[in-house]
Formats: sequence, structure tokens, C-alpha cells
Amino acid sequence: MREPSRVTRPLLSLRSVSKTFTTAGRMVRAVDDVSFDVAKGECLAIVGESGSGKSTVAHMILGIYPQSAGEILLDGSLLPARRALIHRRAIQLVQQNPLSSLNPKRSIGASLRLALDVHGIGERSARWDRVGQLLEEVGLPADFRSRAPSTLSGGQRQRVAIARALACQSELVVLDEPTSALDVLVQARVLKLLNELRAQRGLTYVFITHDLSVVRNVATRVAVFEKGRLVELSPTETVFTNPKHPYTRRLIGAVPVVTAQEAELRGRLMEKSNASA
Amino acid sequence: MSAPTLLIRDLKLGFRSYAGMLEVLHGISLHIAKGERVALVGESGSGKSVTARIVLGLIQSLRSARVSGLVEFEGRDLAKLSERERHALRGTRMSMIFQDPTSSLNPVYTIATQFHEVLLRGSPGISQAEARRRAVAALDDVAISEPERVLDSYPFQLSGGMNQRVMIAMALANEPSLLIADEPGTALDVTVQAQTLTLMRDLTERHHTAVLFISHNLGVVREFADRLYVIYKGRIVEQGPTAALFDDPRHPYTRALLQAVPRITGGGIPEIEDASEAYFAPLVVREGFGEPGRAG
Repeated sequence: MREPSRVTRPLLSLRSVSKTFTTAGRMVRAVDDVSFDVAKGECLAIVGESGSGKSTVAHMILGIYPQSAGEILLDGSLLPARRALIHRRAIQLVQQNPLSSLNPKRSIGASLRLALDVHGIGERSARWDRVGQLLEEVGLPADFRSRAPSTLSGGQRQRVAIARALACQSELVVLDEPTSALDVLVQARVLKLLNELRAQRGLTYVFITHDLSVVRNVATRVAVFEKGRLVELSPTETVFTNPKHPYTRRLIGAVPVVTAQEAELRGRLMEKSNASA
Repeated sequence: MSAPTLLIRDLKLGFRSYAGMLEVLHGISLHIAKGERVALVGESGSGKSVTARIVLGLIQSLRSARVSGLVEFEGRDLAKLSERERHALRGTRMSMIFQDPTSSLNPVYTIATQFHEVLLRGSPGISQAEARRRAVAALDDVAISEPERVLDSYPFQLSGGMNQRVMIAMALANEPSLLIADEPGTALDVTVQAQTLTLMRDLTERHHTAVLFISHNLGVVREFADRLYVIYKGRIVEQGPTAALFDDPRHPYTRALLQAVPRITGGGIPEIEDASEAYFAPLVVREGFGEPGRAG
């Protein structure tokens, strides 16, 4: 599983990254000595329960706050604690709730154009057309650019958020629970779009989620976090057929399922877990 | 046969707005027998939560709401009850668990104070000491290992899972015959959610409490409910026993909904329409699972 990263340089590497927060005079170790690589073109899922440190990892990758120890490299070069414009352009984010991540006072088009203006992408005069293209690339009509976020459904808004992340033509996109606020039918379509975009453009995703059944169907590798530690990192297939860590098994064992085959898989994993306990 | 715990027939709901009437429920019918666990499944905006609120009598008092149809609780027509009689039912004969346990508990009172308040509804005049004794027993029932410590805590000092258990204990404290659970556990981690569901299942079984379980999560429903109703845009589209419905969904919407759920066994993301004319196809009822007093 480590071969690809040895042959080609990983797009993103975390080396012994830790983060401690001080709250009310107490030290909380949110992320504890975590190292992993993200290869070009893969979708690495980071899973864990609340308090596992998965969002903290995402925030450090994005540079929202610096790590307390360790280093983060993008394409072989060290990322500074204070990110310059070029770094911010290189790593994009899609947030969980598109209603709060899009400015309600700004039209969809203005929100998308802001990304182009800030990073000086394309000719000024061509940007409005580019905004229309971006919307079409995520399956929305171009004339949505003059509408307000409140007139869109949840799925449409999330598509706009994805379009905004694509506007900067970055290779790395951090997806923080991108579909957990959506209904299942809408979720299926947004996941499909994300899969297609990754394949077509060779994008690399860091996919933060707590939903293991989504992970099974979109991720190439899975990193399991428990209380700030990386407890397991394996290809998706392995995690779901032969998880090594008991915590991973517990996590899969708790997923509510809809078919008998799934229930059987879950039962099998739990059996192993009980046998080893 | 005695009257079902809950009987809803041809329930319609509309809200008056500037643009005229906004129809939310287009005549839904459902029933819950004594001690039965029934789920109402649908996406956001399908009308599942307002149905629960109508049963509790919370919508009827809104000036903009127009409610018609029959809602019977243990054989009594809710529309014929006075506001006071309806108030007397809430928290005693029927109770509710909400989605986010932490925000449905009052942050400025301890659990003990809030528990006392709950028990006062069922047993007026109950003393603090007696209430505390019963609260300890109730918390013990929901597998809380240190009930005394929990009772002296404020909700924000407890974890989400703990608060959820406290909510369950409170909801069942007065031995209601109907428990309405609106998306319980969606705000919680999967492992905690699984524990919460098992707990609710055991407790309601032991107390013979009927449950109306509102959810958008099909996996959760499969594990909890005996029977289910699928609701789409204010219409019930399919109903039947859980196992049969999951094995062989017959309505196009139910089929799409089931297909859309990602599987832990893999298989990728299927191509599904998120809106289709077919989803408005008429109600599918399984034989022997129709509404009481009706053909079919």
C-alpha cells in the first residue's frame, strides 16, 4: 500500500504532526503524532467520531491554524504556518453546510467570482462567463449565477460550493462532511459528481466524514482516527473486509445498514472483534 | 379489538401564506397498535415532523395552520378535546424525544430539577426526595452508571450520549403509552447512536410503549421499527412490515430511496433521479397491512 507514494512523490505529507489546545488552563492533545501521505489522484478518507481529531487535521492542512509540532508538505515543499496566497489557492475546501458557507447577501455568481478575483485567475472581462462555465461543470444552469443562495436547494448549494473549490484549479480539495447535511437521494448525486470530477480532472481529495458507508463507495484509502491518534490506515477494501484495529471493527459494527448482505458483513466483523477481545 | 394507540385518518395540513395556501400534508392515514414500533420515513420537507407535532397538538394552535382529518389517541378524538385536556396528555400519556438532546434540556437547571418537573406532570405533588428516588431508578434503567452524579450535573457537563439517555429516561418516566421520537440520535456518533437505539428498543418493549419513530435514515429504521410508512411530499407512498418492505420495495420512490443508501459492502454510487414523476405513483399497501376500518 505504500508503493505508489515511493514511486511518485506524494501530493501531501504530514510528518509527526501534533496539535495541542489550551482551554481553561488544561492541555488537550487534539492530534497526537500523526504521519501520513496523500498520493496524487487518490481519495483519502479520514474517519472517526466526534473528538477524534479529524477536523483538526483538516484545519491544519488548510492552514486555518498551525500545527504545534511536526511538518506538512505539499508537493515536496514545506507549508509555512502563515500561508501565502499561492498556498491558499493550492488547497481548497468544501464545507458541511453550504447554507452557512455561502454568503446569503451575495449572488451565487458573485461568490464564485470572488475566488477568481482574489487569485487573479483569467481575464477580468472573461470571468463572468467563466462563472457560468463553472456552474455548468457541476451540473447547474449558467443563469443560476444571478440567484441568491436562499433560492437554491441543499444539493444545488453544495454543487455551488464544489464549483467554488474548482474555480481555483487546485489539485487538492479538502471535503469536510460534504454530504451529511443532504437527503440520501441528493447525497447520491453529489457523491457521483465528486467521483466524476476526481476521475476527469485528476483531483486529490481528503474526505473527512463519520459516515462509513459513504467512505466505502468513494475512498481509495481510509485513515481511522481515535482520540487524536491514527489507529489504522489501509486501502478501503482491506478496512471493510479485514480491519486490523478493534476500534475500526467497532465503528463498522455500529453502522446502520439496509441489506441482509451488509448485516452479515457487519456480524462477521463483530464476531472477530469478540473473539479477539 | 381495542382502539389503536394512535389513529390518523386523512390528515391534511396547510399553511396560509402570502402566496395562498401551502399544502403540506395531502391526507395521510396511519395507525399504531398498542406497544407497536412504527416508523415514518421520508426526506426533509416530506411532512414527517409536522405529523408528529400535530399528534402532540402543537400545530393546531398556530394561527396560520389549517388542519383537517381525524387524529385519535387511545380512541379519543384529539380535535374534540379542550386545550387543557390536550395539555394534560402531553408528558404523561404521550411524550417526545427530540433530535438534539443537549439543546432540548434546559442549561440553567440541573438534571434533578428537570426530572422533578417531569415527574410532577404524572404525579402532582410528588416530593423532591421521592422524585429523586424515582429519577435514580429511571436513570439506572437507561444504563447510567452514576445516577447521583448525573442528577447533580447541568446538561452541558454531560456528553451528548449521556444527555440522550437522560432524555429517554425522562420521556419514559411517566409510563406514556405513546412515545414520539423525532430523529433520535442523528446528532450523535454512530457507536452512541447504536447504543441509544438498543436501549430505546429494550425499554419500550419492557414498558409496552408504542413508538412513532420519525427518521430519514433507512438503516436506523430497519433496526428499530416493526412496521413503516414511507412519506413523500406529504403523501404516504408505501406501508408495510419492515422486513418485507426492505426485501421487496414496491413503490418507485421507496426503491429509489433504498438504492440511494451507500452500502458498506461497496458497489459504488448508483444513478438515481432525485425527483421523478414516478415518485407520485399511488400508495402501495401490502395485503393484511391496510388501515383499520378500511378496505385493502
